[in-house]
Amino acid sequence: MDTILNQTAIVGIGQTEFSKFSGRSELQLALEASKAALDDAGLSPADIDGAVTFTIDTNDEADLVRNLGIRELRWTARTTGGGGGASATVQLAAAAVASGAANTVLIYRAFNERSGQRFGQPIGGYAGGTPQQDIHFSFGFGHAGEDLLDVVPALYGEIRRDERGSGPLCRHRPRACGDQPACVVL
Amino acid sequence: MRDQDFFWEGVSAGKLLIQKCQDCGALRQPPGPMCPHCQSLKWTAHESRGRGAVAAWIISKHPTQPDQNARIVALIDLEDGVRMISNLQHVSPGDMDLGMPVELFFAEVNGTVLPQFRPSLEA
Repeated sequence: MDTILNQTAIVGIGQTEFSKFSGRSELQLALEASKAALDDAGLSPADIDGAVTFTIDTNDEADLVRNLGIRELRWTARTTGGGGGASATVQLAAAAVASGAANTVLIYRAFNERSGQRFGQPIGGYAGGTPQQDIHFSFGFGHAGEDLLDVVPALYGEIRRDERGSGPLCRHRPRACGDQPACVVL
Repeated sequence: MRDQDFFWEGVSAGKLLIQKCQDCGALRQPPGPMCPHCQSLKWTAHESRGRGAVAAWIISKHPTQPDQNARIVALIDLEDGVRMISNLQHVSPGDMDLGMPVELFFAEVNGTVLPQFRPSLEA
């Protein structure tokens, strides 16, 4: 039986460096990562006919089109919120390809969190909550801060082994708040 | 870090600046980080002479309040080869025409200096 799994494929992956102070706009980060993914796939911007991101992403699809040189988007969608919605973006893109709504879908996400909005002092409400949940999780399960380092290889591995269900990618910052672990969204 | 900062710095200096790709030379407006033709991130600021022609326009009036100062919002075909949206001043709406030659000037609008256009004084 044909399923979404054998009708679709991830053909390229791209990213920028992960930094505390990127020095670039979120739009530029999205464009750099998108270009890297296109290069990885051996595709050009004109091949893209669909786009997916989170509802909380600040980069308008039209700005991606205008700057990257995409000729025509036939289909776009956004998945609610961010964080754990990452898997839903892939699901949305796969559904579009399987249904014929689009052939090649760009999934993008760019965020100047630490660079753009002070860690632990949420303004919009979505930037500061999850690190605290990570700390709560960490101590609740008897993990030390170093354990959060283990999350990163898992995220880059074949599957995300993260029971929290949602939350940011984490890395250990020993001096962020004494000996407590802290996380930043990458 | 805002992609459009150079544009407003230009306006402060009395210049209309347009991004020019350092790799392929293409101009782009409005400002953005990447060249849509060659995906280069390198660019310089090209100073426009500010001459062009009206490609389209609307008369913008406040929808619910008396508005004696209706504005002409126009899409300008700059002779540089890109389009930009601005306002037309020193012309009445009834005298507007497609292709009308226009030129740049700077004017304070509600406390902010903006690039504006007016019918070209040169033939």
